[in-house]
Amino acid sequence: MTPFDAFIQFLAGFIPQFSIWWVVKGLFVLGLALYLAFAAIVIRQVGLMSKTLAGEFNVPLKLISWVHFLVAVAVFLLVLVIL
Amino acid sequence: MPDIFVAKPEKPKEILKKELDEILTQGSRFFAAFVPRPKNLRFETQQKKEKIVLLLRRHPITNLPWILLAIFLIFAPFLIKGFISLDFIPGNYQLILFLCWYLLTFAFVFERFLTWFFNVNILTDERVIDINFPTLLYREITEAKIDKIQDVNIKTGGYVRSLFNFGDVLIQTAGAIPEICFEAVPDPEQVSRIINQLLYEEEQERLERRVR
Repeated sequence: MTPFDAFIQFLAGFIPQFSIWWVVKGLFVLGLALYLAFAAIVIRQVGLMSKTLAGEFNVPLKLISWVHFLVAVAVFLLVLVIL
Repeated sequence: MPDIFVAKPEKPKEILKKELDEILTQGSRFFAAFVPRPKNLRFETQQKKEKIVLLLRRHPITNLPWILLAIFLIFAPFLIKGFISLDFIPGNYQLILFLCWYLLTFAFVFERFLTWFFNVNILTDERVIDINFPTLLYREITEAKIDKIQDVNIKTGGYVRSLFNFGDVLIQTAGAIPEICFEAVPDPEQVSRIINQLLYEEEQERLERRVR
């Protein structure tokens, strides 16, 4: 038995219903939380860029950045619900 | 006695000005890399009477590498599925993995597009401005007055640049920033001519002692 197998067995003994997918879910939640922060920064960035160069394309770009943020929120909630 | 050599008269500045005016009145699409006299566009440090003469971005062909990469990223999940069986991953995890992949792909495309779209070079009747967004939430605005320009150099070369007629325009100034570089802009010769015309007009203004 490798040390890794022993560690997994130890965890399985420690937590009766341990599953590797819990770890994967945790990673998804952590990754998406970071992604949400990034999506929020993108909104700020588009705002800053639009302020620097104001033109007719700024409204659609701001809209895209907001839709992107909302989709990221939806995926984050989906992870919490279905995983 | 016949003349051996007769020098061609130089193009009067007024004719040059007319030619440039024709170029500058050509269709101005905001969503382009060479936009003469853009409509409905303002930049943050623009003064009240200041007019934008030319807006420049990097040539669209410079976007080709990331566009190709984006196309690959769009089709990558299907390619991976073709080679590797993902049956060991539960269906709901596969769905989330798929969604996360496309979120990241979209973020990559959007970021690259924003970088191209907002990294601009602006020529006004008063100044030369270089706006850069090197990273997230960080911006660099470099500017020089037209009358501080000392020299304009063009740097082209290479297969792609020659084929698509784009290159760098290096503007040496007598200001605090010794050089402003317009990177990979379309038609650098035309850009240089427009800068020279602006310089000439500025000189004329100074001679006529016009005060704005």
